[in-house]
Amino acid sequence: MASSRIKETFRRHIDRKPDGAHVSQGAWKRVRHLIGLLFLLAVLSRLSYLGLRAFHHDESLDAWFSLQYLDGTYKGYDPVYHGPLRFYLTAAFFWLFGQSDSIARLLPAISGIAVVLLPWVWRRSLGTIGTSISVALLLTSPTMLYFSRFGREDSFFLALTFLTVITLISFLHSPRRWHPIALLSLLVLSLAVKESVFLTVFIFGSFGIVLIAQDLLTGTFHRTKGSLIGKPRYKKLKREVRIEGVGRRTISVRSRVSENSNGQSISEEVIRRWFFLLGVGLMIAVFLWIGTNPGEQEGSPTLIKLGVYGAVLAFIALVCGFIAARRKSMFSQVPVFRALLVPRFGGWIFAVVIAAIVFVALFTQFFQQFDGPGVTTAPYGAIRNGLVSGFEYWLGEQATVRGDSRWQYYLVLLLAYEWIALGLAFAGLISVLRKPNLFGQIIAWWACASLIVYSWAGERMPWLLVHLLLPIVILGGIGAQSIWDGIKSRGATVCFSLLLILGFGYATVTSVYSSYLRGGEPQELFVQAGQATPEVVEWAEQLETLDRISLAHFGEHLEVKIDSDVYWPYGWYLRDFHSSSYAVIENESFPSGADIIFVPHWDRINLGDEDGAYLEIPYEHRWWWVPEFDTGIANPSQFGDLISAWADWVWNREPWDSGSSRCPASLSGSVYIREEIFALAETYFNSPFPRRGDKPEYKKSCQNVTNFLVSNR
Amino acid sequence: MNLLVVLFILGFASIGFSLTYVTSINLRLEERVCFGVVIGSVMISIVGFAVASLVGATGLMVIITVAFCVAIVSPLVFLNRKTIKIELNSFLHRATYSWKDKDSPKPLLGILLISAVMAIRILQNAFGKTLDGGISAGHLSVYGDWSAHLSYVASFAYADNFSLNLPTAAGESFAYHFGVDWFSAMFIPLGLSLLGSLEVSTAVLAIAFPAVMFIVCERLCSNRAAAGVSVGVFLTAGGTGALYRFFIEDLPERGFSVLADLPRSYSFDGFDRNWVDNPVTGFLYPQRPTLIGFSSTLIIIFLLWMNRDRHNAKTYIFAGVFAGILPVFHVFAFGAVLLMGGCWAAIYRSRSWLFFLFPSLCLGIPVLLWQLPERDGSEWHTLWMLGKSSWERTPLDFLSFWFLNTGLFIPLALAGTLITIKRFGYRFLPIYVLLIIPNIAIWHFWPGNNAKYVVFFLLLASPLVGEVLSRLFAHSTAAKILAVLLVFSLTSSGALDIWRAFEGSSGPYPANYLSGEDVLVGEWVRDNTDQDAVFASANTNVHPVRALAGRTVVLGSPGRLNDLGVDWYRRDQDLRNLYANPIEADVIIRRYDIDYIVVGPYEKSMFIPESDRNQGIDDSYLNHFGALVYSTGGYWIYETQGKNG
Repeated sequence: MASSRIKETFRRHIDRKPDGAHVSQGAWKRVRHLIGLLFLLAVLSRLSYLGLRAFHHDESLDAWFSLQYLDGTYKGYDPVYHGPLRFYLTAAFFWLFGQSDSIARLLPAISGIAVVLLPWVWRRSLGTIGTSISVALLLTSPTMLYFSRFGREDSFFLALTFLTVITLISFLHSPRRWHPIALLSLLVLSLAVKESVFLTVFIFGSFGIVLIAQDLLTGTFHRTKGSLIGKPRYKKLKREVRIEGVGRRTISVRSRVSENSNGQSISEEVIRRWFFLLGVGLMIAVFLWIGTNPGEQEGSPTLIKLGVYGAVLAFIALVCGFIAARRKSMFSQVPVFRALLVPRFGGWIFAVVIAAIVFVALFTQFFQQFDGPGVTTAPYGAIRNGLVSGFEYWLGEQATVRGDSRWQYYLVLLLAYEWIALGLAFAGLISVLRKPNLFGQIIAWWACASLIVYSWAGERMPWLLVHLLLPIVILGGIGAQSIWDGIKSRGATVCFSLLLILGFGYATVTSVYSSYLRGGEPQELFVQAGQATPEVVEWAEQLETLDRISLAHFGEHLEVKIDSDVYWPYGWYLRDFHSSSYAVIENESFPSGADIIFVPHWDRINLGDEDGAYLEIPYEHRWWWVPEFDTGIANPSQFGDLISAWADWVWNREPWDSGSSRCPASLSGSVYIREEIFALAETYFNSPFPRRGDKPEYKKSCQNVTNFLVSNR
Repeated sequence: MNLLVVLFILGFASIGFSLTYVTSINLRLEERVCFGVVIGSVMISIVGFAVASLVGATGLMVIITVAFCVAIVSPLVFLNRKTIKIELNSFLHRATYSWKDKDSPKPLLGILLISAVMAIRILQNAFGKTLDGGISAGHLSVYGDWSAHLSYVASFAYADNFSLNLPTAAGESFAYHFGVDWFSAMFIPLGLSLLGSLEVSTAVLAIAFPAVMFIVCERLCSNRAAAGVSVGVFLTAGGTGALYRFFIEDLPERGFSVLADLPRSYSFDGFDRNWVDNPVTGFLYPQRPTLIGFSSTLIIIFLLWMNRDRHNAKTYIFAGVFAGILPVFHVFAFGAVLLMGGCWAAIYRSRSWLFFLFPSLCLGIPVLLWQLPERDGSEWHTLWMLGKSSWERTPLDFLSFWFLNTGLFIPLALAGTLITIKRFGYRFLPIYVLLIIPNIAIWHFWPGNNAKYVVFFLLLASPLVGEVLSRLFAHSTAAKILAVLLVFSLTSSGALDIWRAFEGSSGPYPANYLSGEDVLVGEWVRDNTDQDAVFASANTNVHPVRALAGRTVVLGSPGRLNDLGVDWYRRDQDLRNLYANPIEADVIIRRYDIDYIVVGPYEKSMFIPESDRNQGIDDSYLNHFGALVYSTGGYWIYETQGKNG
């Protein structure tokens, strides 16, 4: 009885009364209906026409490894290809639904749907407007939609991260014994998907230290007499809020004020605000110290510098602990410690054991394969690879610069695609800083730290944007709610509504354009260098038919050789093809006996004696665009041109050449086809081979750039 | 499966859902949805066929059909909007109940989930790719019966066969319950492949069936457990016939690894006296009309049962019209419904039953008469016993045969009839007619078809068996043990067969079905010949001209044509003469209005002597067939210009 009373008191203590509690049932009913509708739209948008876009190089590898697991030939975890969990799940989908491009993308799509719906869990903290806006932002976000339909691990990892954060907040808010089990298991599941879990641990680990420090300091201001946990006082404030069905009313709300035994009082909000700013500020400082581009910091002791950051935070926490001890605060009543104590020691041990079992099961293919794959990047046994190789590989990758080399890469992408979320998140950040509570503080920390850490990390890829975007969207939800609560005039309401309509309109149109109508075309900034052209799909389909024809007429299968540089995604598309093979073809080495040969442009074959026996067909394998979106301005007068170029891209998706031929480009190559096969194909098809697919046409500065559409063959 | 297909499925399920309000029977939301899938598929097929007769099997046809059906049901939705809202809220509320609660929808949702996983997996195994670019068949039902169904579906989708000519016998009427095949064909204009259309349409109806059965049994039985057991014993029925092979031969020999490669069917082995196959692997999947027939029978009996005291004319009319349409979809279901309805009408002797009997007879009998074969293949016999062993036809043999085929199902059904006599009265006695018929008559040319009556007996007697078993489960420990043993004996063989289809790698399947070259030929024929062209080709189990292009042939597989009462023998002789003596082909070409003659691997193996086959085809010899219009390494297709020539 006493225990439950303490828990209840603690629960009230840890956070102020949720915003949602003020809102009428009718409003929540309407929100529930709206969320239901948005959920249906999420299902529709994530699952329809999943196979529309040609496979990206990485998607084909993921699908291929899933097939390998299904066939029993998967060799085990190799950090180059990330964790095995999604291979298991995709293999299960293949087993149940069959093998197709759509099914290969099913796991990300389902995860994407879950991500859209999950803010509902936080509805009491986000409020009616905040919840609706968060869900709507996630639904219409071009980034979220694109990468929910993209067969890499990021969407699934994001859903797991979301669940982890939900569990963490739930644990800090109202701890239960099962929370550690869920938390640790979710972390293990995340580790079995992607090594980015180290970033998650860093982000929330550092926040944990900040939280301990601020709770300790807050505790020192609590009275220790008369109450077990120090009863906080509340100061009355007048705030104007909008009440459903009544309109705006000025009502009194109470803000918690802590007071120490000497009668000194300080608002808890002030402590939270300054600790938040201190933690984020120190994080920015340490990453500036390490260097914004780790690739250029070869040999720099990144880990030590990160350790210093942790040590500084820990030192601050220690100082706060020291102060608390001096003031005779009860440590067991400090909220964060209290939460940690709820599961008890046995509970934590049990959680670790469960997590360990899950870990071993996932990394040993469910206790079937304890040996590792025996490759350089995973040289140990399966368990040790899971424990060590992932981290080693991930750390090594930070020293290389893969993807875009600019620290502002994600900021630019966010501005280009997600400005509405970014704007609302900014409002959310202000709101959290003005009135910080635990929920707001965690979300704001998650958003800021993700932006900082991912902008710092060496590998910058478009699909990583979702990991930054999710907390930004939730913060945007907080921002939207705070703006809505703060609106005092009809004009402001109209303005805000118009802004939302404009923002969601832009997001929706952009989403439809980038994921359906022109999905996978290089003018989209989501399209990374591994994206195959539609020509690849056409080739794959025609090869299957051509093989049947060849077998019918000549009694032999087609012999197809594909150079290693252009093998993927053919490895996936031609998975059932009788005789296609991975080959290393050099300029002079002609693979004799092959009927069809695919090579990149740098390996064009000198046919020599075979001249005349083969036809060469030009071919575009992959395409991309890396615009110099933030450089190339020699003087301020050129700033207008840059803005104009951006505006043209936003409106027409017209890429621009910023002076160094950085227009959409392709990895071009050649396909060599034996003459008689070509002649035979002509009798079957009106257009015997893909005529270079449906390529986008550009009208302005990129029209005449030579490395695209007019290949350098 | 693309978005249009999903929308189409949602569309006809919604149409069927709305139509359940016509019945005036109180149903829960989830029950309406499950019934709606079946009723909607029937409605959309009937309307779709009428529309397709005017505009062809096109996307426009689907749009018009759905729009028309939506227009019909819209007033129903409007009038019942408050009820729908209440039912939706009730569903959401009940969804929070424990699964043990009698109002909880969770057991039904669980059944739907299990049947979805089972159906999707089994159908995902249905067709595969072969290394030569051809098609493999995943199990016997695909290799066997689906060959004919492929032809029927393709004839609607690719040959606009709305004048209802039998695609497997040129000039014959399509006197067959083709409804479900037309239903499958409706998916093709939406972007599904021919094979995909069979898989998806089967999946939708197969997933709905166990749920429909559970709903119906729940109302017929005294409790939910009995309903669940009823569904289980029916779906996994298969007798005890070959079980000994599993427990005495296969399991001891290979251990539990045998489950990964089950060597045989444990429910059906015609040569080993097992003729009543498992309802799932032997009927629901291969004999596609049962997809609608089983569910529809149960829904109609449900409506009649629920209306037993109310005598609501609307319910009777709905049930009567539904029953009257059934011959288009499953003629045996029509018979079963009419048998039960007719007997119940006789028991009640109420005029209100005319509202059921009149529409069902007026609509059903003409279709039934149209379906009657010209050739009379019926005969009378005593004691249905089949198998390679020579039966002595003694009462002991008779009992053995039925024990092998149905295990203890019949005694349990009799026990169920007795213990439910208070509840049902004599209403369930007519189901025993379905056991008597196969033992006195052969009405379908081939005695093996008598199993189709038995399976309807199993379907309708399942609630009785479920009732007995559930009461045993609720009794003493000894009774519980007995119940477990009985369930084990009733379900083992069928469960093994379902597992075999589910697991998907048990030999000899997947088996080569159509070669890559066959696929090329099928695609060429589909894309380059007239829809009403008649082909001469081999009468093998499967042939690309029939199966992939849906074109009419002189003769399809003789066994199936025999089932339909077609005089296949003369056609077979004509084909043999045609290929053996091309110089005199003209008479046969004119007899069947043959437009194209196919000479390929099947024709060579069936009609051309082995000595000639190896020498290759002599052009001068075959030029009598007409102009060569297509050739690959192994196929030649000649255009006879039969219509004009």
